[in-house]
Amino acid sequence: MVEPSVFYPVNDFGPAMKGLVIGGLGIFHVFLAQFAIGGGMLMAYYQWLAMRGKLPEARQVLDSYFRYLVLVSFVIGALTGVGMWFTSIQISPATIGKMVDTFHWVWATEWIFFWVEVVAGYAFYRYGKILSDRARLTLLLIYSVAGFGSLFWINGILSWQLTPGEWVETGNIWAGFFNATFWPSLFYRTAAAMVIAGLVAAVVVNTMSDVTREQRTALINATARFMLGVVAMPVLGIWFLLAMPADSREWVLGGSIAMTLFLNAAVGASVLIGGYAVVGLWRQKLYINGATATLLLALAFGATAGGEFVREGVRKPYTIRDVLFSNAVTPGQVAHLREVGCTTDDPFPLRDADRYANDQLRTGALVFRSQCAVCHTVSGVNGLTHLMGAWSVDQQRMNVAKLQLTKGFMPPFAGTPAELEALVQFVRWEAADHPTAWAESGDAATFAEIKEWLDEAGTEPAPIARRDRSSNGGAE
Amino acid sequence: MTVFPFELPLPTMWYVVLLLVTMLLHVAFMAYVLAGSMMLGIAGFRGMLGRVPRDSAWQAVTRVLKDWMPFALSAAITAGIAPLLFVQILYQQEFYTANLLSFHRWMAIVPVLIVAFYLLYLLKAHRIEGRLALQGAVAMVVMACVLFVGWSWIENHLLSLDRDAWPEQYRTGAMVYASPAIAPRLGFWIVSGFATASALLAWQLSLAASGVAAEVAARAIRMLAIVGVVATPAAGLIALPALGFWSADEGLRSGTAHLMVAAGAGAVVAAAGFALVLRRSSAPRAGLVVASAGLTLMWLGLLAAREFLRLESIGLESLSARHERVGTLSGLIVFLVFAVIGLASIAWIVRTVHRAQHGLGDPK
Ligand code: HEM
Repeated sequence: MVEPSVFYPVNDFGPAMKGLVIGGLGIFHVFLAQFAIGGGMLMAYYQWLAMRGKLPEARQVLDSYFRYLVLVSFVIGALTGVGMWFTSIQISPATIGKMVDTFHWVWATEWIFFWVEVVAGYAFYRYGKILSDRARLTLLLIYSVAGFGSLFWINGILSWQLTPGEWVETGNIWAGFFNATFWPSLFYRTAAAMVIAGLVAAVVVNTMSDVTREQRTALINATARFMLGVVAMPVLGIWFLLAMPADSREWVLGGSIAMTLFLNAAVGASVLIGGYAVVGLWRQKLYINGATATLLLALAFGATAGGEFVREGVRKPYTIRDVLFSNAVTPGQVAHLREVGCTTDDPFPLRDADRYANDQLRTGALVFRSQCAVCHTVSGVNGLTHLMGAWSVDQQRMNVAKLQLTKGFMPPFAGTPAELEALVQFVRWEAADHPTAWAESGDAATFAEIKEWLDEAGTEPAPIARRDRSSNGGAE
Repeated sequence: MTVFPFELPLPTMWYVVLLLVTMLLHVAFMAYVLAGSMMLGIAGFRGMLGRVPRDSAWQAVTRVLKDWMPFALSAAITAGIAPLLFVQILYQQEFYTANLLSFHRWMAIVPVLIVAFYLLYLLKAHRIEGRLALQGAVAMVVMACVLFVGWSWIENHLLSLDRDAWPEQYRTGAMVYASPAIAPRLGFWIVSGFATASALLAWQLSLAASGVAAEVAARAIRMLAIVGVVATPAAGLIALPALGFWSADEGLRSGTAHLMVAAGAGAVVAAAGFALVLRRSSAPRAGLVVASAGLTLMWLGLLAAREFLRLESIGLESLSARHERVGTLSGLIVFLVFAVIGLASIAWIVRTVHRAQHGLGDPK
């Protein structure tokens, strides 16, 4: 039986692509959350250094710097986390719904870790000064483990979206959780978290007026040791690339120029930071001033940005591989929707129905809303009038009918021939600057031709994006 | 057993129970934040008018609030995450649709909470001590932020249940769902918030975690008990019209009767507990135990009745098949194991801090 479609109201993000919206907030959230996680570990390390008498001034950094850390991780981390959740609902309720349905116990477990993080962080922030050294260290270790734990749990859910592995067949959530990209992405993110925290610490050390230059250098060199995981990042990145499905790998290695650029930006920034940390700070024991540390931090932010865009992008044409296409249609629904139509049961009317010259255009606007709007705008970022503008009308019909072959990172078209024609007319009308008069098109022969193209393309995604046991991360 | 929620099909019942339990936790912190921000807002406003209270008991309460509100807000947010999860399992389509219809207005609660959080820290800062106008303004902005968030959740809840209004709400692009039911419902949450926050603040003062002198604390506790005695039965009464029990049809009313009786009994017990505190405000703990137990019963009754109405309004038939499909116990054991470890860690932290405060050294 075909799963019934659930219709949700679709919001218009204006000229911005939805991916940009979630990517934008995602970068911010991930950067801050990783900082909080790495920060917890670094604090525990400083406490240990201070207790062992190796670096007594580490305690000062801890007490001054931890305030920022706690504030940032409490507020921005937790709230942008909730914000990510709400944004995910805005972008694709079907995706987040499926994630929640599948992994609610994992999320509930993560929630326990949040509580421990909040209580441990607050206790240290508030009472750290009156606690014994041993208690401080234990508290910081609890805080770090809780922070790392929240990364561990969410990492399983996010990596499952790209490589759900055996789960697709068995429904076993642990097979989905410990999937092919789980470990490389966990280690990669952990190393990134430690580097970000180290760089923030370098900035903080530079703002401290009550330590000497030698003490600062000692602090920064100790921090550099903490950041050494950066050397593993290229290897982890390659491991991640090898573990991802073959088609996704192709997108980032040249198949999609935007994604290749983002990947290169991320790699380039990471190499610069890594080189500086290893050669400059650790080997040559150089001092890093506040301005340089801030610059490196900005580079780390750039690397996070590149990484997050790649992560959002490589899943295409799916949001959950093999299970849900980016436009919330499931592979099993495509054939059915080609029969009954994707707009027929949509209870939500157009907001601007009066604007259109005829009913066909209104249908076209509904088709755009349900099938395309999650990744495209009409004339803004990734706008259809630009992308399809140079094609003849027949090319437009055929390329949409064979959408998954036109570009492999798009899903198969899931609507009737009449809906497809309506979409084509809608795009043409928009490109023509929406004239008031526009004739309805589509004789029987046109529809028959569209149907033929649809049949030729079939209802499966592009051959390369089909489920392929050997390329789907090899989780078996 | 045939009492709600135990009469429900197993998967639905299971998630309803989880929603109720986790919502109870959210309510505790949220009530503290809601009522606390109003107390600080009102105090701030009076300060702006130059009416600084001479009564040190009232000052003690505002001091405790200023000190603990940032944590309480973090806790309210963290506590909100679990019910957020279970609401999505139980009423996915309804919840998401309401979110989507309110769009930017709904999303605004995130930056608004960030602003509230930072302003709460500002309110605590020594820098603005003595600057009454500034303090008053900050406290009032915090109050407005918190009320906005409470309003938004209520609006979202009501919109999620008004399926007939969805298409038109979408067509007009209106991000505000103007329902006459919102204001009285907010009224209920505020009054019940005062009742709950009174108990929590009185606990804080009685445990001396606030650093307030015993004699002042006793007077502050008395004051809070008076608020509790009045607000608890008032909350119970307001709940009847505000949460939609009065306007519900006969069948629904009789379906929730036992829950309302439980809630009413809870309110009476809580009021009696507060009265006990009033009689012995220097040794208030026995009274506070009774008041807290009563409040817990009241909340469980009200929250369960709220779920009963929601399930009836959406229609159990349309929901239970989904619950059965997604209902999986896989992962439950992992959750339970980490819940125990998490609770143990939190208990260790609380004990360690407590011992350090009293100079007792580290726990073994
Ligand atoms: C100061 C902050 C907050 C206040 C004052 C507040 C207030 C409220 C109120 C008044 C309700 C009841 C709605 C009704 O039934 O009429 C509610 C429900 C709820 N809140 Fe909060 N809330 C706050 C923050 C949060 C946050 C940040 C989250 C999520 C992480 C959250 C999660 C929930 C959930 C899941 C519900 C249940 C919704 C439903 O059952 O439909 N709350 N909140």
